[in-house]
Amino acid sequence: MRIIDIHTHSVFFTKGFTKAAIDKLAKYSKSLGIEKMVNLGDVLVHGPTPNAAQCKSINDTTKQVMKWQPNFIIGFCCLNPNLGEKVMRKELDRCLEMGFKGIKLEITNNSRDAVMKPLMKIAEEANIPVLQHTWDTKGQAMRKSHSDSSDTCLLAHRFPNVKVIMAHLFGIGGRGILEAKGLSNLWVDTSSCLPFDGLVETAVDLLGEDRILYGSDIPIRELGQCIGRVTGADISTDAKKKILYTNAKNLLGLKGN
Amino acid sequence: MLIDTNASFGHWPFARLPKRTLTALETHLTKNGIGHALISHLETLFTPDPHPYNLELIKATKRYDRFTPVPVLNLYNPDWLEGLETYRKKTDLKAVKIYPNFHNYSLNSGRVNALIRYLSEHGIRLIINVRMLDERHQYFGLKVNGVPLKQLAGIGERFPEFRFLCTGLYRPEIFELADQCETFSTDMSFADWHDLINELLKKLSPDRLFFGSHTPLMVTKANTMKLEVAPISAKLKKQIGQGNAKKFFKL
Repeated sequence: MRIIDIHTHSVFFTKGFTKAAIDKLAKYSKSLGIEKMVNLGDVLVHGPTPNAAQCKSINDTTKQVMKWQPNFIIGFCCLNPNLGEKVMRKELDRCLEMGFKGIKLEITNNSRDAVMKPLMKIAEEANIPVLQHTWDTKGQAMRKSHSDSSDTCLLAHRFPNVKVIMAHLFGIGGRGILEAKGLSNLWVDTSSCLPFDGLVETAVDLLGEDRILYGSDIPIRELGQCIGRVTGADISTDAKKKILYTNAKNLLGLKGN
Repeated sequence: MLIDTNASFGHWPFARLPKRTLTALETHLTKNGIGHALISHLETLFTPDPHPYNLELIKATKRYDRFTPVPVLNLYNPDWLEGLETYRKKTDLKAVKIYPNFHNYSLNSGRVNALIRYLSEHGIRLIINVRMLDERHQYFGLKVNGVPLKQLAGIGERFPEFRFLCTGLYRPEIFELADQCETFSTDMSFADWHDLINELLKKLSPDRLFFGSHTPLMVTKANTMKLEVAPISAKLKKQIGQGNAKKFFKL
């Protein structure tokens, strides 16, 4: 089956940042049917709250990876909403000029914080999706910067004109799926955690097969396992095709068949 | 065809998981390229006395060539040895499995020592389940920590000739335990990283890696693909996927 991987970190704490490593990754990925890989950047290399120069450096690394594999790697721009509208706008404009297709948000703040308002405004103006790291953090101190599914869903609810990708289906679990019900501008990616059975089926039942995107979160995860959790799910072949490829193609506005 | 060293039969009540009869489980595993499976009864985890479920499994699997029943012992109970002797009489016993974290005892306990001596004497293998779920995502009604590595390493210290199989170890745990214990082997169901197997082979010899699907808790295909598409030789895949289990369990 054809695959677009919406959630990867092909450079991780600087590891993998050579042309040879990226070429090897692309070759192996293509052998598994992966046609495109969204590189979300080496987002934690400078810690959880990168400053403007550090965000720029992360995005420059992504740009270089895109240059090495131009028909394979798609870049998302790493931003820190705490830095304010002016700084974010400048960096996003720079990244958009370089061909980036979306925004990646990690753990700089909670997605229900007020600092998200200017970010969502510029995302709406640019008409690009925002991928937000999300985990089941309800009741935990870490929620201050690690958004819970209820936080990311609230973000999507507050900004209905922005396409929001809630990362980590296997990290948000069954409650996260329930939180996401009824949000037509929200997608969930299948990345990370371990392949516990029943979650893809539940997501398809409750959110619909058009709302799920395949993602791996490599190198933290193993690609075969990540693909198998979708191809091995008890859902229709059409649903698998949509999750693995078509939904991401449409969301990212990729041309071709 | 693969040999699955970590599969279960029965109902897990804390998630939306497929409920399969033994026939359905056999069909499912076969569809996923698994030709033989060592299976235990899930319901042995939720009751103080696993014995009735072990007997049920042994009886039911007699009609299936592709299943090797692996009874679960609760060493917290006074009659575990009696149960073990019963299973030896009822089946060609290849292995027993323990879940120390579910049954509330330490691997440092004297009963574990007694069990290992017994198994060594009778040529029966021991499988130690370290965890059933990622601790971060357990249902609030069932929170069970993984088995401490120190206790696993302790078995290696006390019984340096006794080889045992762990199921449910994370990748960092495998690395850490590899530095402390030479006698454990592991399945790979909870181990994860890009190019996983080559990473693991830096610390463990190939004879210590086993295929385990953790069916029905995990998507079977996810774990078969982990091995199937690994960038390793076909010979290694065969060894990890079936050869090691065949030899270790004398299948």
